Amino acid sequence: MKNVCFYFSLHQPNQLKPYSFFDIGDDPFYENDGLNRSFLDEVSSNCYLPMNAILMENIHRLGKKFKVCFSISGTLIEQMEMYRSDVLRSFVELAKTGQVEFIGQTYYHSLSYIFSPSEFERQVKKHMTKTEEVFGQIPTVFRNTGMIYCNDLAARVEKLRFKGVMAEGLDQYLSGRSYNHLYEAPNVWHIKTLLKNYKLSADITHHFNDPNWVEYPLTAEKFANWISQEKGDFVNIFMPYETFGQHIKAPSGIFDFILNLPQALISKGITFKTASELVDEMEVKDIYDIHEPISWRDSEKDLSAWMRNTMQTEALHKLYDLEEMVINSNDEQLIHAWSKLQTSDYFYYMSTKTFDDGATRDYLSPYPSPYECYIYFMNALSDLEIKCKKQPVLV
Amino acid sequence: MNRLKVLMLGWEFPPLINGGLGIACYGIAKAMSKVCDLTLILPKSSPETFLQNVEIFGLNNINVTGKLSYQQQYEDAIKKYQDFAKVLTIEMEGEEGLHPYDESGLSESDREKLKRLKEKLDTLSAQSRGNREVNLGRFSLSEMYGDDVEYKVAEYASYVAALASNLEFDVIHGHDWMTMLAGLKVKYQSGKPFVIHAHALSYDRAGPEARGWNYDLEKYGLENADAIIPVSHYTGKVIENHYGIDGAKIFPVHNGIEPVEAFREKKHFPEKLVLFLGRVTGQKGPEYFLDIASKVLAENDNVRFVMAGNGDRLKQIIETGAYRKVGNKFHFTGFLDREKVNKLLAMADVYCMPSVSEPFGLSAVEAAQFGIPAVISKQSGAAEVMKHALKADFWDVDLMAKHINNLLTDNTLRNKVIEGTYKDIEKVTWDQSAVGILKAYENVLEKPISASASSLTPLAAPKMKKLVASVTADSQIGDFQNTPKDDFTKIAGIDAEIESVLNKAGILTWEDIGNTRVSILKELIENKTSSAKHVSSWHQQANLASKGNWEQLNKLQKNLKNR
Repeated sequence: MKNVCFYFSLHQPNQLKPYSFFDIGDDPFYENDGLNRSFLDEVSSNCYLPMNAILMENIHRLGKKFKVCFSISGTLIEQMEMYRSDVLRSFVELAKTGQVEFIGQTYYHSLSYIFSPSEFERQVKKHMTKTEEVFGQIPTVFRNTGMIYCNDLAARVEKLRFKGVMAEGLDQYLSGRSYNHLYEAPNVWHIKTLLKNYKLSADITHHFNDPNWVEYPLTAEKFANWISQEKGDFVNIFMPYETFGQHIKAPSGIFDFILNLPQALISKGITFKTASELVDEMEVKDIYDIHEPISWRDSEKDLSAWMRNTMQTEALHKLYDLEEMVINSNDEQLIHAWSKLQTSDYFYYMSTKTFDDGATRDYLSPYPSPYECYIYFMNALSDLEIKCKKQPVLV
Repeated sequence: MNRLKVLMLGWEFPPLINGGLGIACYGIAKAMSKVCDLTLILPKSSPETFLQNVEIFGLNNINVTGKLSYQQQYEDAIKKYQDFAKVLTIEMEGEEGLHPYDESGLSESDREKLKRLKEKLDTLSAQSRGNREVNLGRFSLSEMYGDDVEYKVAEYASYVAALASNLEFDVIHGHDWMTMLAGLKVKYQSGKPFVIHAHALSYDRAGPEARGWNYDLEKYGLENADAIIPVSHYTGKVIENHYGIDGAKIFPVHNGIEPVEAFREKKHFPEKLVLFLGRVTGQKGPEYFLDIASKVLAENDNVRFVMAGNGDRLKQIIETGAYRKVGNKFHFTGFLDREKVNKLLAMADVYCMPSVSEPFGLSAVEAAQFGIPAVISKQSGAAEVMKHALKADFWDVDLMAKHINNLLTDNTLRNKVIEGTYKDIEKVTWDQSAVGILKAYENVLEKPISASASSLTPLAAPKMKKLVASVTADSQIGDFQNTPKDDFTKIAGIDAEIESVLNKAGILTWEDIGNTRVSILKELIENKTSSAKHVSSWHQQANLASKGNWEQLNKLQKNLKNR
């Protein structure tokens, strides 16, 4: 194994306040600004700031040999602009080194791909524009919300001029083939598909902090060794940035691990690549043929995390039913408010799965139960619908 | 004439209340205190528990001493009750059903629980064995309906009996199953008649299949009471048919309600509002409400539904509502405090109570006080007093939906229901209830006492009428922009100012004027304008105008001018 690509996804939703029935038609503000702010503060001090410092230190230490990929959602960029310009600046500083590649996504971290081609396109373009404006880069590789992927998605983002797209590498579709190669969808001209090495990625995200794991504790040296032993052209380590310091807290030694990992990899002769470099330099080995959407969420790795139960589908359908009315209003504020309600996290919080997936949801969700989230969401949506109907009709 | 002495046994009482029972007890005690010497024994009272002219004993606050005497009948009851209680701990087994006398299938913890209960009941029994003075100390009840309630009601009986041995009374009046053992014990010890007031039965909570210790205890109590006062004829029928009790000793008496200061509040959304208020539990029919909502929305998109309350069915209803795709029009508030409930009542356009079994249904009457027309299930006591409310069987969701749609679209019907219901509930007072209760007493005491009822005022205070007008008026604001309206200034005595006052009250057409009582018209324009004239002729004028009979109208107006 000669190449490795680290990709970090970054996103924070805008949390809804307990928007009650009595607020409908009366209170135009749906979000809990205080909670958004305190979440951002918490994750900034737990993860963003210390991790950015570690990446910067590695860039200083290793120069052009070290590089990573980021995809930052529009909602998070806006939150940083509003509350924590210092944190945003530290990301811009990293971007300025030229060692960070920015990956495209939907601006509002939404499920628009599933529900509306036009809305999906609008959000992807909006995110491209924002990324260029803030970080000075136009993304050329795309990753969808929750790593949702299928053949059609690849073809759709190809039309939006992306040359690469990320996906979860699932064994049932790989049928014995390795995820450590470049693939393509059967229905595209040139866009390439990059698969996550779920096993090695999960060793960090799921096992690092598990004392019962047979490999515990995981060291940079050990992990570098595993990567060097992988067969194939490259290893894609894709994970949420918040894994470091937020989900896995500092006392676990996660920061030491990631600080020392780049040097350990380089000394094994492994080269850091960005996603677009892999797309440009590697050969497509085979077809990755995905007819139904897959994702990296929950044990089922499909859309069920966001749209299995009736509350989720009802909320989503009623939300996207408003698209035409909202967009035609040409009211920027209204469009923005509606778009923010599209953030996928709300529908994830409405999931009623139990066991491990349910436990993960309960850990991430700020609501007492999926039912509260649904109630607040539908009340807010009702308010938005009333606002829509109040708009003068443009002929 | 000596006043009648009543010993009343309660469980909930303000401020320590769980549901409607405490409120009803308070209303009854207050009204009865006007005509009787009333002593009320409660398992628990707080320093705020107070009612003028009523002697209240909170067993948690006094040292109970008194005489307990041995009564074979009561011992039999307790023995039987041990069996009732045993059933509580035994699970259903196969098709055979219950095996109440077989303890072998019990789990260790159930057997332990049963043993403790037996010991406690034996101790209670031993206390009264010797016909002697006892000192029981204070009664303690941590939760009104805790895990130990089945024992607590038996213990309460001993405390009450001991205390009652020092009291003088002519009749014992107990509320619901919690006081049945106590009432019977006092009855056997004192020889005085026992009257049971039935507010809610296990039948209401669990349906016609309800069996088990709670049912058995209720049946036993009802059988051995001298008279039963159910809060409605509906509940009276349940007692007669489902519990097999002799109808001759059942005297239904409707609950009353305290007058409120009703008000209206403007909604923040353009749609009409249909309200469900109550615990989200099978008895209240929340599933039916959802069905009804889906049907109404299929015809009329301009409505929102709100389900206010909490309960074991809530999550299921939320998910079903989403499944029915009415999630953006069917809202949930969870449990609301009184202030929020009143706010909802002040906003609502229709009240819906699709209860599967509702002994009375105070909330429907409360809604009527707020001038909200109601659609209620026939399986409720409220349906008996709210004669003008629209009714359907709880399962007939089509008819319920039709009623709601009609009320939302037909203002004439709407006003008729509101006004009619107002008249209906004028009679819903606690003093009126007291009159009925006295009749039941009279029956068991076999002597006339109704004469003492002269100090009661069974009709609501006249201020209720005033509310009719103000509520009818304010409830309509903003609701009628799109309905056609007639030019009222064509009527002699109405100028533009008066017209706008009437329009604001939802009176928009000639028919509307005809359908609004003159007294209400007068009240509407009272203090608002001095220019109104010939108000008593408006009906006639409007009638002519509606028929397009302008010639006749001109004639009439000339006559009016010349008057």
